[in-house]
Amino acid sequence: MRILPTLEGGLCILPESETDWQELQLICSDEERPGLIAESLADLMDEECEWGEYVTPDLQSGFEEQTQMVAEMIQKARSSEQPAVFIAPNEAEKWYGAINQARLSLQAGHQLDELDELDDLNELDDVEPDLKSAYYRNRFYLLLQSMLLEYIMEG
Amino acid sequence: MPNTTPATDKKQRSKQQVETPWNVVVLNDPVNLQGYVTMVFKRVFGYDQSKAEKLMMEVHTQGRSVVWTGAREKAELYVAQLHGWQLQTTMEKTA
Repeated sequence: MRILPTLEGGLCILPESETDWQELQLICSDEERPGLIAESLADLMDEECEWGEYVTPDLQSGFEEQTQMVAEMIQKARSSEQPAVFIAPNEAEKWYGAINQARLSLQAGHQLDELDELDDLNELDDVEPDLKSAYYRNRFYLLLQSMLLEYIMEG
Repeated sequence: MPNTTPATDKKQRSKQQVETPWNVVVLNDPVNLQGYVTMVFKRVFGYDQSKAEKLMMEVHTQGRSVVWTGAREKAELYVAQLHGWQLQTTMEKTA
């Protein structure tokens, strides 16, 4: 897979194999449930704020919108004549947010930060396949987020 | 004659609660990128690069940072915005 900056200030993702497309589509399935993140954020507030009643529903619908947009863009790109995902500057924040949801879900499910302390990637050989797969997906998402941030969002 | 029901009375905040300054506190997490957190502080609070980076480093090294202090309602507004950017944020009364 190649990821390139575009002349209009966005990014172009060029998947080169079926596996690449599957990796992209996993962004949306790794997000367990947008409501879960909204609810975990509400847990940080005291009950008196009634966060769950007044704020969580809006957060949840915003997070769902991010996921839905990314899923639709990937699906549409995959079935087009020139299969490539073009992320315009005004779509970058929603992409970043959807990927962040995926990373938060992976982190919650696998405690991936513990693996970041490994000195050598060969040590991953001893890790269970599910965890290893989550680790590599998280690294890919992190790379994509870094590019969104560097080439679009910080500009 | 009061124009509120007992239920809404219960929800009303006391004058003292409203007037006490509140801190907006961002907590560290293993997911959000440093550059992203800095960018969010600049966008939400209008901080310059230097202040936003200083607060981000506080979150990173100390586990938390008070990023804004002021009236409760405005603090709630900021927390809601920071939650929208998926930053772990809470609020607390100033000491």
